[in-house]
Amino acid sequence: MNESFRKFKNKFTVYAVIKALVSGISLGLLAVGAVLLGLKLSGVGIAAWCYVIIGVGVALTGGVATFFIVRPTDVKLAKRLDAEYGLNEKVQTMVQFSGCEGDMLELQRQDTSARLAAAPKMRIRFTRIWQYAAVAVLAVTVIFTGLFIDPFKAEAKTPDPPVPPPATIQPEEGAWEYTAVMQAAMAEIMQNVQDSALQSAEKDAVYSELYGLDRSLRTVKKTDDMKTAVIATVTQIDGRIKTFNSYDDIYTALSGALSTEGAEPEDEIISAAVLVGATAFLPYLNSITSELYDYIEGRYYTLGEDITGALDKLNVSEKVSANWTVTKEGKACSAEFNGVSLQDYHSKLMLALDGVKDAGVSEEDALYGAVKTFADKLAAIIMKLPQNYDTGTISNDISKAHEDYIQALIINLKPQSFNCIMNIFVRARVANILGVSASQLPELDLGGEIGIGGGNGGDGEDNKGDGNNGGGWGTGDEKFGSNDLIYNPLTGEYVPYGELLKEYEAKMAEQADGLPQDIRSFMEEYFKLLYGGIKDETTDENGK
Amino acid sequence: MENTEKVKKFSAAIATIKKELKKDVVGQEDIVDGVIVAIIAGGNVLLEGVPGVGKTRLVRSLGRVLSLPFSRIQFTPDLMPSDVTGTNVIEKDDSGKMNTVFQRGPIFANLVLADEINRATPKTQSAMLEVMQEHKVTVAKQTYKIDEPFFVLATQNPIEQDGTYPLPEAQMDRFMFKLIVKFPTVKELAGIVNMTQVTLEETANAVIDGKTILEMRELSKTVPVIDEVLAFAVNLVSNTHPELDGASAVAKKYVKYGASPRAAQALITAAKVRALMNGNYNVSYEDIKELAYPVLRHRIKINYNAVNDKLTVDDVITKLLAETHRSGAVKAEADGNDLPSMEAEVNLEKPAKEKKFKFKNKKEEKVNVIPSSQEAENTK
Repeated sequence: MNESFRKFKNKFTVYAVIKALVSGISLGLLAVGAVLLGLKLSGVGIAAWCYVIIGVGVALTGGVATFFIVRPTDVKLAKRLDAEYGLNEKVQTMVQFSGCEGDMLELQRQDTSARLAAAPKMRIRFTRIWQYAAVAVLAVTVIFTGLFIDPFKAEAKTPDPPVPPPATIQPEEGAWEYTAVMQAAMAEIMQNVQDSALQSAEKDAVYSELYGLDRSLRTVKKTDDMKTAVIATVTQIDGRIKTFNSYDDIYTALSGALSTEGAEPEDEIISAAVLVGATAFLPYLNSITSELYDYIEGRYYTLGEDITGALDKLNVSEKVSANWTVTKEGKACSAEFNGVSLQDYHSKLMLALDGVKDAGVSEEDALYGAVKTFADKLAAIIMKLPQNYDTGTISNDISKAHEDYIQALIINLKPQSFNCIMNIFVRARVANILGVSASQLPELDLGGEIGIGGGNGGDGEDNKGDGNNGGGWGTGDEKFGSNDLIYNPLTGEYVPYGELLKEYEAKMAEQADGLPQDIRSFMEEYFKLLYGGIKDETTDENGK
Repeated sequence: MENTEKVKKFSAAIATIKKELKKDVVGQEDIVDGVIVAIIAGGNVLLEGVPGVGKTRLVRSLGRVLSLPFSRIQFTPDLMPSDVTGTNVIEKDDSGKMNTVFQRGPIFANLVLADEINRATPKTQSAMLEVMQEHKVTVAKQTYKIDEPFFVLATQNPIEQDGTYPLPEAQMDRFMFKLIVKFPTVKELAGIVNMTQVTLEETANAVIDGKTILEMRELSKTVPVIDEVLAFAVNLVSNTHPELDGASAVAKKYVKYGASPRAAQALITAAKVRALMNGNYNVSYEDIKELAYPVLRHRIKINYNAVNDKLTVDDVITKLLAETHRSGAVKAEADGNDLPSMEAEVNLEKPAKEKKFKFKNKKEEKVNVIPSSQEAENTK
């Protein structure tokens, strides 16, 4: 065969070999992948060397078949060369008559050889490369699928031998685990705090404490350590809430400065708190049943706002001016409350405010502002006393000042009361989540006469400053009312709490039309509990 | 090799013939090439063209160049067959004895120009049949062989139809080629005018003889043809027949009757000569495609559908070529497509186009009239 033609043939033969190799390998991989996938899906396993044999066999077969298909025969090559070089069937003629003799044929061969030899070198492009790439990708995909796919769980024809039950692991005594359920519940209560109506500073404080507890519990392995962490957190929250609430300091300062017989201004704070619901509800929250706890929990988000909103409708603007006696001598008027002159009352009030500031309450504090404003108004009234005002005017001014004072107390006690509600809710909820008994938690120190939790009961005395006055309260499932005396701002008298309770209930009933049904139901439950728990005077000094 | 020399001589002879003919014939290169192919291939040529385009001049000049005894027969309606072939006459010999002597007619030449052959009667035309095919004449049961090489170059006028007798198909089939001599281009006409101002006589010189032509003929027969090309030629002729099973759609639609087997013979024979003339040592598809027109145009009869579609015979032949190509007669070319394509690493320098002759005038050339004096200076 002509040398030039042979060179071309060799080149195309190499191409055919490469193509056959690629084809064979792709087919072999595809076959291995298909077998692997099929056997994996059917749950049958074979030795690795079987896959090798399959792959090699298919690769060889496919490669050889491909080679025989694409190998350059003389005729094919001749046609291709004629077409590529425009040789007008010269190469084909040369190939067809390659075995024949004749001068003209020899001339033809020589001429064709010369032309082929003079032809420029050709670079062979691999056509249909994308098809091979597709096969290779498919093969790899099938193999990987076969390697990682889980077999179908076919019904076992023969039952598997029974697996002995795992040995029960006895928990180490005192061991504790922060389960996923607990974590989820803690996350939920943290979210509750975020969503609540707490002011931002209080919200951040409570949230950070809860977050710290959640993190620390993840490393706790013992029950004692858990309880320690919970108690520490609850104590921290109590402390931080207390810093945000100023009513306690104000109450203490006022009670210390204005300690007189009879109705005392500090009682107005307490009464207002009662009316607002902070103290009224605190004992209630402390004595709730589990069903009611769930109810509260379900109504938690609107608890504070609904109640305070409802209570806003209570008429708390009852005049207390009846307790102030205004007289006129000549042009000057004078006013006194239970024998205390207005001027003395004002001085003590200012002294109390200084004491409040000394206690660390900021002048920016809203509750402080309310007391200060009341004091300023009394000062303005004092300025008017020698100015020949009639007693009616002075009396009205004093009444107005008191009304405004009460209103300001109510308004500014709302967020502080909500702080208390949240605190109680959070500590009760945390204890419930982590399985800590409420009695194991530290006493909830809400300051002033508002003591709750921890088993400290009221002693039934209406003394001041011992934190155990008024309200009906208790621990656990014991619910009872109290015959402790409490100041009734409506009449200006000290009445048993149970009596006030009736008036309180009456007031609530008057406003019931404006309340949502669930709030009304909530209130009914509350009063039911209170009425149902009233004990007689033989109640022990702890109120139990 | 002996044939190498012969091939070289072949190419040189062709070049010389063309060069000499150019002295007497301006333009008409395709016609000249076609006539040369036919002569070397041993076929007859029918030249059709309007008067004055140089048909007779070409043949006369060709006779001079080929050193072949030339005779011209002017066909007229009253021309008798014996006027062509010759007849027996009675002559008195020297002794006074009356003998019958065969007086050879003008047909007894190597190169015969049958001018306006379509003007003779069919009877006279048929007198040409035997001699054109068999190169012999039979008169009074006596057969006279004509010396080789023998060619008949007939002419006919496509315009003048009154008083003419269309050649019968049997006679048409005896012509290897039918060449259409077109009116010369303006440039060619200018050249003709300039040339004939000098002289009207043919000035070409004899360059080869009949023996050389015969040698060239024998040489051309050795040119190889691959099976696919042969199949293409055969399928092309077969596709001209609408009556055959599996006839081509073109033939069914446009052809009344197709070409005879002589067409296939003529195609291959002439293609070999053409290949050799172009410096090739094998017959290619291109040879067949180029020769399809002169070989088939006088052998195919188109029907009314073609006339209605304003198609000429050549148009139908073009369609037949395309259909034959698509139908797989050239499937051999497509078989090579599974081989990878190739790109040239350098710009592929295709071999210089070999000089080829074509039987169809493709374009009109622009007119650049060169005065004869300036042309003479240029040749100097």
